[in-house]
Amino acid sequence: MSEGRRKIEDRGWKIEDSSKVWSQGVNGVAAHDGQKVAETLSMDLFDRWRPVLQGERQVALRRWLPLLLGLLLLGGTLLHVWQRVQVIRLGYALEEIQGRKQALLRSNKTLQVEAATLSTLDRVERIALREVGLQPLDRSRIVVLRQDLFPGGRRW
Amino acid sequence: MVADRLDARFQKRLVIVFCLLGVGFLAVILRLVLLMVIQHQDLARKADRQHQKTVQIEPRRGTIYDRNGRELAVSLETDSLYAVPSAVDDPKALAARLSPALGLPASALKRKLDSGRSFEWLLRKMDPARVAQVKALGLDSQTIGFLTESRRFYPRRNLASHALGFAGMDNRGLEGIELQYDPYLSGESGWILLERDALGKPLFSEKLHYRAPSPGHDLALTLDEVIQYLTEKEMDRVMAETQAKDATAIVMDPRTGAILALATRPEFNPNAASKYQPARWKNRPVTDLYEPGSTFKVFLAAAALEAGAVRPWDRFDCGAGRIEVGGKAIHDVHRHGVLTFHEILMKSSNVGAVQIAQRLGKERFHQAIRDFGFGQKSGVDLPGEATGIVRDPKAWSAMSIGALAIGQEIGVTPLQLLTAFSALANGGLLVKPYLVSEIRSADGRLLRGTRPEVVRRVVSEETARQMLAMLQSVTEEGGTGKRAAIAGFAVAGKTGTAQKIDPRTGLYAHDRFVSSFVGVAPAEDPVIAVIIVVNEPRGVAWGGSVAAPAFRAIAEQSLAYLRIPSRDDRHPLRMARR
Repeated sequence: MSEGRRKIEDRGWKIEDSSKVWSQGVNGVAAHDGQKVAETLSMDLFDRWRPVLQGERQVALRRWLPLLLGLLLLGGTLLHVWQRVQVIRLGYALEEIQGRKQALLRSNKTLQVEAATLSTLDRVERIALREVGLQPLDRSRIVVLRQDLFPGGRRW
Repeated sequence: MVADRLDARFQKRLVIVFCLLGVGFLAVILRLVLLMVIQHQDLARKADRQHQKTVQIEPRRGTIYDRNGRELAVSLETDSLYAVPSAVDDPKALAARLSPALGLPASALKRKLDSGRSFEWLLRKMDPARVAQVKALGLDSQTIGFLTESRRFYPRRNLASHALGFAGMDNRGLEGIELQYDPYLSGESGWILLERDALGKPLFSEKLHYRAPSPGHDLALTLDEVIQYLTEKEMDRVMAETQAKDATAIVMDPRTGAILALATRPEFNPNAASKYQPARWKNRPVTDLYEPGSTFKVFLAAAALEAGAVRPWDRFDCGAGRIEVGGKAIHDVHRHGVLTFHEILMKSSNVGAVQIAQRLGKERFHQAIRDFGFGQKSGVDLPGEATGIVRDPKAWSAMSIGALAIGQEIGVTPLQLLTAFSALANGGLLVKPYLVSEIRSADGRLLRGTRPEVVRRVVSEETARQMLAMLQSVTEEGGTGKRAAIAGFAVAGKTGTAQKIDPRTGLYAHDRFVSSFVGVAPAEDPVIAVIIVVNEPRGVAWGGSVAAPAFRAIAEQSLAYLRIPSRDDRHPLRMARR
């Protein structure tokens, strides 16, 4: 007994009439002899070709299988399309947020630079002298403490 | 029979139909082969061009800080307006609408919109207000649009403009530090490949083709914004009072060569550099040569002392008020009689200086001039530094030694002179001046730190100490630079008043001078060295009258700012007395 046939019989399957099962024949062996067909099945062929299942359950399954596969395919396609649409939609949203982020960063930098511009020393001095009424400090009124003389003190 | 004939005709027609269909299919197949195989690459490229867009991402140009981390030059993102002239239906109408918002003549805009090109800049690096005005017009986004570009901005405006220089429209450094350190500051561009929909809006692509831009490095300068401001303010005062052609000041730490301030007047605003004549951009402290006049006597004296040609107590007869050298007379402004070595410096006697030079001899004098760094670049990290003019002794005339003794027949830059003077202030070492103390990556990593560099020893510590002690007398009563004296501090310095050569006659003019003062404070332990050079002041032109007061103002305020204790501060009882 060929190994293919042994495997088929081990599973309790029955090889049907060849004309119903192998209408095309297998590897050049005449299609009418199911037993011989089974014997000529190689291990690979066994794995690829399934013997026909028997019983009503199998018949029903055989009938609904294409429809099921079709629905699965349709569902998968719809899922894929939906996913793509979502990616594109999120891409637009991301782009918009990126734009807002850039605008905020730019605004932040501009404000920093504006602060730097407003704190230029000539402006500060002008405001101090003209608007606040401060006077330049006379050098004689500044006392610089030497750190070695005042080790505990800190420079200000 | 009839049926057979009909069958035969039907079959014949069927064959014809099949043949026609076959030919049709063959034509379609051939066309497909043409499109999909033969023209595949060209068409794929065209398709990519239509739905893909490569956007160049400009790197952020590095920030320039002063030594206390204050921003001196930053990069900002700004909008630039472009047009697609090929898509514009009515260039005249569009130009008329854009003209008021852009502040450009409608005719100039129309010329650009008429070009028929696929891309044309209308206005680059616009102010936010103008951008808002253009957006408010609600123009067709297929014909005009904005692109983001980086713009260099100098928040302190004119401050340190010559040291900083500026970057051009393409963000490349054109002058100053911006030019010198452009490879560090500029960074590397990046790009992103975007897929676009039919409206040109970017689509999110799962596989992102992207190269991130590398931001430029940041620079920390040795410049101090406050000292720079004090220096520039004083330069403005000098210019206003003397109506000089130009003026220059440098403040340096003589111990390290770190430049704390570098100012030139007239100045420019680097935010709008193109509005000024290029001559304004010149960084005169390093590019312009001048004859130093009497300030050069310092180096003659130091060389003579170092060589043992004179001793501090040596006396020189300057009573005649004139001395003949090479058949020509060199005069003093006043007759001084017999002067000691240090009195020659104090009173800036030309006659005495010539006698010292004659004792030293031209070979040793020339060698000392070279040793002090004249006639060669100081190596400062600024572009366009001049070498200076120092002639070989073989080319000297009989009068040259006398002329050089009083600072003529030589061309120096203010920076060279200050660097040489600093050597006397730091114990005799010529240090290399520098402006950039640190280069840091955008994430704050230290890439390069500048360490003070000693070029060579030019005089011994003892000679340097003696020179500083003698130069203090210049700012004391009876000295030419007494207006440089600062209460509470000892100041060592030298005045200079050099005649300029009249280009028409080729002779020294009697009404055109370069007034200068170079000095250090406190003389016992110098922390700042300052040079002031005023070119062609009107009216009184003495270095002691024009430049010395500017030195005092800058040095006095800088010492207070740097919290350097005065002689009074150093008295332990001062606090108690107050």
